[in-house]
Amino acid sequence: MVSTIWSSVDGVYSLTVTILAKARSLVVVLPIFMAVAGTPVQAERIVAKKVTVTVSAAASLANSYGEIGKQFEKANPTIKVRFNFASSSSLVSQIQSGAPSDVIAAADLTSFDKLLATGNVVKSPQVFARNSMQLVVKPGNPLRISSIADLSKASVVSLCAKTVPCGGYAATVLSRYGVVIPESKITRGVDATATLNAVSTGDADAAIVYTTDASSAKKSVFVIAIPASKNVNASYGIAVIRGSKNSKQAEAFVQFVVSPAGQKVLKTFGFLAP
Amino acid sequence: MNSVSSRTPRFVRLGALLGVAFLALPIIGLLRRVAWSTLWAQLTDVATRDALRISLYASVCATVLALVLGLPLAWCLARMQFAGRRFVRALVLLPMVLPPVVGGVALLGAYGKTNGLLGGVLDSVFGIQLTYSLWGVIIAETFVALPFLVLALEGGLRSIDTKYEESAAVMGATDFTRFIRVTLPLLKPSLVAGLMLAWARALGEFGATITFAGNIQGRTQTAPLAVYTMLESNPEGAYALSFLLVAVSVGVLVGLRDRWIGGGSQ
Amino acid sequence: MISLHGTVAVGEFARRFSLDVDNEIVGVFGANGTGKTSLLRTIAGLCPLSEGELNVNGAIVDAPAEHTFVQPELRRIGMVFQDHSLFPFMTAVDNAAFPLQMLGMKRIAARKLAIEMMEQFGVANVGQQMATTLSGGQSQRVAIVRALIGSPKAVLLDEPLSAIDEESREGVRNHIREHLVRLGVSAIVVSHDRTELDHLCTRIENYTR
Repeated sequence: MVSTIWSSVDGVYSLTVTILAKARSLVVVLPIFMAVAGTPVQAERIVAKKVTVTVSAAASLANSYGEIGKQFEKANPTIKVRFNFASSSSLVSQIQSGAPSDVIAAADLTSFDKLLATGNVVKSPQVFARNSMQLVVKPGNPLRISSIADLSKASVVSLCAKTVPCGGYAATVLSRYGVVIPESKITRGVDATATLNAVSTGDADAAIVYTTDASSAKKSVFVIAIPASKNVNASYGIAVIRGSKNSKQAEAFVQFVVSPAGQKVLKTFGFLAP
Repeated sequence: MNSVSSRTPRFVRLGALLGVAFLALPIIGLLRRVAWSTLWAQLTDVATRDALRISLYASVCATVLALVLGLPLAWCLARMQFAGRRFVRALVLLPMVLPPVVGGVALLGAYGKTNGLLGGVLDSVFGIQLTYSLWGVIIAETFVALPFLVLALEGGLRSIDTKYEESAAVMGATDFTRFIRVTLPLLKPSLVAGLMLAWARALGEFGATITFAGNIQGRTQTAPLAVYTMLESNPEGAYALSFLLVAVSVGVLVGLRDRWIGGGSQ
Repeated sequence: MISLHGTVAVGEFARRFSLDVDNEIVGVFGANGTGKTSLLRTIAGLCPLSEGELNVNGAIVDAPAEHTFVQPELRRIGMVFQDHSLFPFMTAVDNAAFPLQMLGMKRIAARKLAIEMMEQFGVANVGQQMATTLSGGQSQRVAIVRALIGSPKAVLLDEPLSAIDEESREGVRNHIREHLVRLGVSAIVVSHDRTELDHLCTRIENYTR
C-alpha cells in the first residue's frame, strides 16, 4: 500500500515535470497545483427537518461551549448547534459585515456596546460567566519566573492582539504591575487559543491567558497565579443577533447557557459565576 | 482564415468571461476599499514599514536558500538514478499539499526549541533559537517555496538538450565550468520563472510563518501577518497594505509574462 | 595517432571496430546507421567502449578491462559534430573561442585568435552574431574553427562539409587539410559522400552493415 502511494505521488510529480519540460511554461502546471494545495472543502450534510442555530463565540469558550452544545442538542432534538469560534473582536467585525449568525457570546461587554451601536443586537447582553487571567510558562518553569514582575527573564512573551479582549485584559494586568514589555519581545496571537498554543506547543517562554485556558492546557504549561488584587474581571456576555432567522431557537440556546445546566458546565471548565 | 480550431464557440467565450470576472471582481472590490487619500500615511506607518521590510528581506533570503537547496536536488532528480527516488519526489511535493499551518507545526517538531528534533540541540549547544526570529520566518518561507523551485528547475534540466553539454566537454570544459558556462545559460528561462514563483510564494506565506516564527511586530510580523492583525484594529491600514501586495503580485506576473505565454526563449 | 580496437555501442547494437590512424587523415565511409557517429563519439569520450582498447597519441584513454577511462574534457580532441552543436546563447566568435578559454586563455586574446582563424574560413564577418542566427554553412565553418583552434591532439569530423555550398567546398577542404597538416595530427572524417572523402583523405575505410 505504501508503494502504491509513493507510485501515485511519483506519478503526479513526473507528470508535472514532463509538462514543464515540454511546455516550458508554468501556466499549465500552476492550476493543477493550486487545486492540489488548496484546502479540501468539507461536504455539509443538509438535514431537512432540523433547525440549525449558528453561535459565534469567543475562542476561550471553545471547550465549554462544545460541551454545552452537545447537552443542548440532546435536550432539544430538533435543534442543531453550529459553532464559529474566533476572537471576540473578529466576531464583531464579521457580524457587522453581515455574517449569518444567530447568537453572539463574547469575552467582554465592550463588544456588545459596538454591536448595540450598529444595531446588530437590540438589547443588552446577559452576563453568563466571568473569567480572570493567569500567567503560564513552560512546564517545570525553567526560567524560574515567579510573577509578572519577573517577566524580563522571558525572551518571548505571548499575548493576544491589542484589540482582542484577552489582549486588553493582559495590558490591564501588566499596567497594574507597572511592567512594560518591549514590543520586540511580544508575539501577538490572533485569539486566546493561539496565544496559549505559543507556550504549550511553541517556543514562547510565557503567556498571559484566561484562567480557563490555563487549566485546559493541563500538563503542557506551568501556571503562575495572578493575585486577585492585580487581576481583572472579564465579563462574558451572550445575546441573540438581530435579524436571526431562528430567533426562537437562538433564544432557547441563550437560556440554556444561563440555566443551571449550562452554568454547571461552565463551572467545570473553570469559569466563575456571573 | 476561419479554420475549425481557430473559431471560438460562444459558450467557451462566455466561460472565459465568467472566469475573468471571478478573478477580477475581488481585486476591484479591494481597490474600492482603499482609502486613497490616506494611502501614503498608512503605508509609511511604523508597523506597516516594519512588515514590508521584514517581508522583503525574508522572502529574498528564502528564495536564495531555496535555490541553494533546490538546485542540487533538482539536478539529482533530473539526471541521477538512485534508490528512493520516488520517496524524494513525494517529499518535494509535500510542502505544496500540506496546509501551511500544518507545515508550521511540522517545522516546530524539527526546529522548535522545546522537543524539536534539531532545535533542542541547536539551543542547548549553540544557543541558537530559530522560532520567533527572522531566521524562523526565512525557514518557514523556504519550506513552502522550495517545491516550486525544484519542480521548475527539474523541468528545465530535463528540457535542455544534452548535446551542448557534450560538445562543451569535448571542448575541454570540466564539470563545474560546464555547469556555469553552458548548463546555467540554457536553464535561464526555467530558473527565472522558478525563482519568481518561489519568491512570490515566500512573500505570501502566512500559516507556517505565524505558527513557527510567531507574530512579533518589527521582528517576525511579515506583510500578510500585518494585514491579518490590522484587519480589526486598523482596516484602512490593512487595505492599504493589501493593495501594495496586490501591486507587487501583478508586478511579478508582468515580469513573468514572457514565460507565461509561449514559454522559453524560443 | 588514434588506435581503436574494441566494441562500440551503436544504438541498441554493438559493433566491433579495428582502426589505426597514424598521422594521416582517414575517411570513414558508410551508410547511416552503421555506427560512424558512434565511433567518433566513443573516440571523443562521450560513450565508453564495452570491451577493447582506445589509444590516442600514445595514451590509453579507454580500456574497460583495466577500468581506465579518461573524461572527454581531458582528451584534447577537436570535434566537428554532425549538427554543429554551437552554443545557442553565445555569439559565433565566442563559440569559436571557447576551446581556447578552456585552455586558460583570457577572453580578449581568445577572441582575437578566433577571429583570425574565422577569417581564413570566411566567417569573420558574422563573428558578433548570435549562433542561432547563422546559416547552415556559416555555423558549420564556425564549428570547424572551433574544432581546430585548440591545437587538439586528434581531430574528428562528422560530415564537415555537408552544409557548405558547392563552390566553396574546395576552399574549405583545402583549409582543413592545411590546418591538419600544420598541427601534425591524426584525423578521422566521417561522410556518406564518397567524393568528399576522396578529396580530403589519405585513406578510406569502408563500413557497411
